[in-house]
Amino acid sequence: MTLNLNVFYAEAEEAGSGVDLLLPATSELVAGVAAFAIVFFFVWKWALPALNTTLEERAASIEGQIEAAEATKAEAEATKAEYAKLVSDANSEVQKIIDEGKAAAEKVKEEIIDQARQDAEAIVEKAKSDSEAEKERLSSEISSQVADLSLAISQKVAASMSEKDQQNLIDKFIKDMETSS
Amino acid sequence: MGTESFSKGLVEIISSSDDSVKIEEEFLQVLQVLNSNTEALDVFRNFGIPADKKIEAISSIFSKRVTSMTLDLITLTISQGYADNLSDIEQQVSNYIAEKRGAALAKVISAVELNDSTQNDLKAALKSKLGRDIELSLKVDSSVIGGIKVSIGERTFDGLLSSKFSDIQTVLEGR
Repeated sequence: MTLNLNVFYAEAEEAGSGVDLLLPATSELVAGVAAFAIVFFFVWKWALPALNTTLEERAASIEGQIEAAEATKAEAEATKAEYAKLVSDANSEVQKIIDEGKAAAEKVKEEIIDQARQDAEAIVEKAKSDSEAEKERLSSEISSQVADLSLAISQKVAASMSEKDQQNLIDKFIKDMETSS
Repeated sequence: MGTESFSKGLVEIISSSDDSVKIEEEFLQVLQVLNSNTEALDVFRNFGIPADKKIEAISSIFSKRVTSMTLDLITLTISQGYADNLSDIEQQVSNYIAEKRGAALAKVISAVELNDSTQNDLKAALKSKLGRDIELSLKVDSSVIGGIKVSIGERTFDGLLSSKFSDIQTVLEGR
């Protein structure tokens, strides 16, 4: 161990002091510059184009994806619009059906009410007619009975006429015939 | 031959007779009797009874009551198939006889018999009304109740109580 320290001190003394301590050795500098140039050349010549290509492909891919997404979005928008139209149409159709249904129901309702009114009027009319017919029948029956009764009474009175009454009747008839035009 | 032609023929036969007034009277009376007798009419209208049987029956009833000519006229009427039309023949013969004498025949229906005075009054009234002589064909029907009805051709003067009652009944029933 004592030996290694000695060697180090020796080498330190040989290397000098100040700025010289910071600057690389010329040979190292040349070798470093050459190595950098070589590396730079390889990077510039092959690595950068490959990287650029990769980046461009990547950008193109992203742009494609964006376009695809936009197309999908547009398609979705169109589908949505179409769907909205379909829904709107469906709503219109449903509304139309409902309106037609309402109109039909209203018509049926009116027909039923009208029919019921007609039936009611017919019933009332028939009742009136029946009542009138019954009244007429009773009136006719009473008239007939009165007529029969009057006739029976008159015939009874006439049957009891004396010969003189009969003669007077005939004489009056002859007299009336003479005086009439 | 129709009844009218046959009736005219009968009237001509009666008129040509010397005793036309009596024969006419008898003939019409026999027809009236037959027409008012339902049983007699049924016999005459029965096609099952031969005409000679009908004539035999007529002869047996009237031979002693009427002249032979009247009986012949009745027999002729039956044998010629006019037994169903005795009423028409009576009416037509009466009309033709009256016309032949220049008079009109008035068919009179009454409930009681008309006395001579009433008949004359009626004739006079009808003559003054129609302007021609009138002969009466009288018929008594108690069903007419009272009054009198006179028919001359198409004209009728109805004073029957039964007709008046019928009119009243019609009016009352029509109310």
